[in-house]
Amino acid sequence: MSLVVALLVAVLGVASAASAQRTTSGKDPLPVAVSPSASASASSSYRVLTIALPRLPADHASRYATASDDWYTGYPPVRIPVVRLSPGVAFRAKGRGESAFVFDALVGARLGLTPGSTQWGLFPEAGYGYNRANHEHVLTAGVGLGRGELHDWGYVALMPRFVWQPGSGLGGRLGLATQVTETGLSAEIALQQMAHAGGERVSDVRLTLGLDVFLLGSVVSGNRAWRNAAR
Amino acid sequence: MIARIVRWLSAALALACTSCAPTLDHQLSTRQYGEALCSLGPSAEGQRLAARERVLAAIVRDADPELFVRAVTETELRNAIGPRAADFHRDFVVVILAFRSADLSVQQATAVRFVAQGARLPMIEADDRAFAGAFGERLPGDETFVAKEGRLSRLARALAPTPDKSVGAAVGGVATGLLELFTLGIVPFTEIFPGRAPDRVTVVHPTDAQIHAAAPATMAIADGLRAALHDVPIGWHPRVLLLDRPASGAGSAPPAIEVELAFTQSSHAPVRCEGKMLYEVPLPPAPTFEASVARTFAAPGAVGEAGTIGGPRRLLEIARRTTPPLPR
Repeated sequence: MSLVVALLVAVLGVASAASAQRTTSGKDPLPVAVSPSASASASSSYRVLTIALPRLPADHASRYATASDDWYTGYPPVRIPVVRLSPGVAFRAKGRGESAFVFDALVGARLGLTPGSTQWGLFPEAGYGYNRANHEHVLTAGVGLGRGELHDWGYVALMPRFVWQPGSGLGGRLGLATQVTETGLSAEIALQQMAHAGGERVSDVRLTLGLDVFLLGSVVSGNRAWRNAAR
Repeated sequence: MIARIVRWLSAALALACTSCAPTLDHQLSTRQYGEALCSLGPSAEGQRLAARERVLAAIVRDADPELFVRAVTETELRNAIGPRAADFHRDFVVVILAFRSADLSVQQATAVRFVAQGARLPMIEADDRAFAGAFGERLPGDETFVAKEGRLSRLARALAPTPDKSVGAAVGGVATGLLELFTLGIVPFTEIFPGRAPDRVTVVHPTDAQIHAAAPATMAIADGLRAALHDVPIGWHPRVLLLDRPASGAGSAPPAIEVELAFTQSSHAPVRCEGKMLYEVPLPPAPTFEASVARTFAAPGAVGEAGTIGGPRRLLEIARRTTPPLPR
């Protein structure tokens, strides 16, 4: 038994010694750090080139911008058409009538006033509005003013509009609109005041959710009309 | 009502006017070089040209580029490879160059070239292949071995329904394997219908010793250059180039180093805003190209003979503008 154990120990010892020898002597030096004496070819009389270089200074300077105006960044002012369908609800705050489903169909554009990834923009829009419960059909037109990433993320805009109910009344609507541009979804909260013939005044608070069908149509049909306009 | 709307509009317009376009002075003083480049527009005439010149000059001044060039001398080559240095030195120049500039908010790219007699000298990166070509040596290539598959291995592969097989291949493999077993291997079905045999290809790279034995002069030079450059600090961009030796001596115009700097706005914007500047470092007349380079990059107060160490120099101290700014 003791003979077998001794044999095993001897075999393991020889094996580990051989392994250690492999790890220390079997590795080639890295070619990037060859020392001149180590890599001189034994098969020739050549010696590795020895060349003296200066110690290059290591203190590297970084001088980054100390402000960002986000004005000239390679983004020109955008020119993007908008066709928006906006269903919603109008709460009648003052005057005869009741709260009801409303619907707007609007055509307009986002026109950047400044370059940059974030831009000031004008938002001309005109269209048709419908109030179901009160059977009101109105035409609206106005130019909004807003700021945001008009080609990309979205914007917030103040949207004043003239409202005309043919043969019945005239008024105005002031809304605060926002759109996540690349989704085509928008939302607007607005106060609308109408002066009807006979002196009656009606006020509505309107909440609408819009869908940009020009963007949607571009995506569904696979053409690049919206993308080209946004870029 | 209308009056109220007009009041709202006026307030909004006043708000918009608080955000006015920044001036070029403001952009340069706050190092907004990308915005300054974008503000110049595509026109390259008159006032815009002057503004472009001003912006690019400010960027280069702030980048403060530094250049170091060192040419390997014939003596150094001879010490390494003996008499073969003479032929090599007659035809080629080995140049070590290092370049750096300060990090800015714009992307920077630099090209360094050598000019002689009004033409750019042909040059390539001086790697092992370039030196082997110059010395007429042949670097050993990889060796490829294709192992022939054994019979048992082929049978096992046919019978094993591994996940990479389609259903048809798995069924076909099992069928051919079983048929071969049923015929006691007399009919080698798996050899007749081998399916897709896996490539058993082994590529063996040449060892360091084989490379040194096959291309001793190449490796003597290449190893030495690698050793010289392996501890260059971060920020420097070292390169080793092999040039066609320019003509020297009486009647030959001294060579020059051409440095092209390009600056680009880092942005995903659709319009690419960039500017380029071209500089020329004139090299003084000297008996050899190596001496001419050494005099330019000599340590302050030193004469700078070929083979002396020297050091990096500020580009703006040794270079001159050669052309008007290149158009966008």
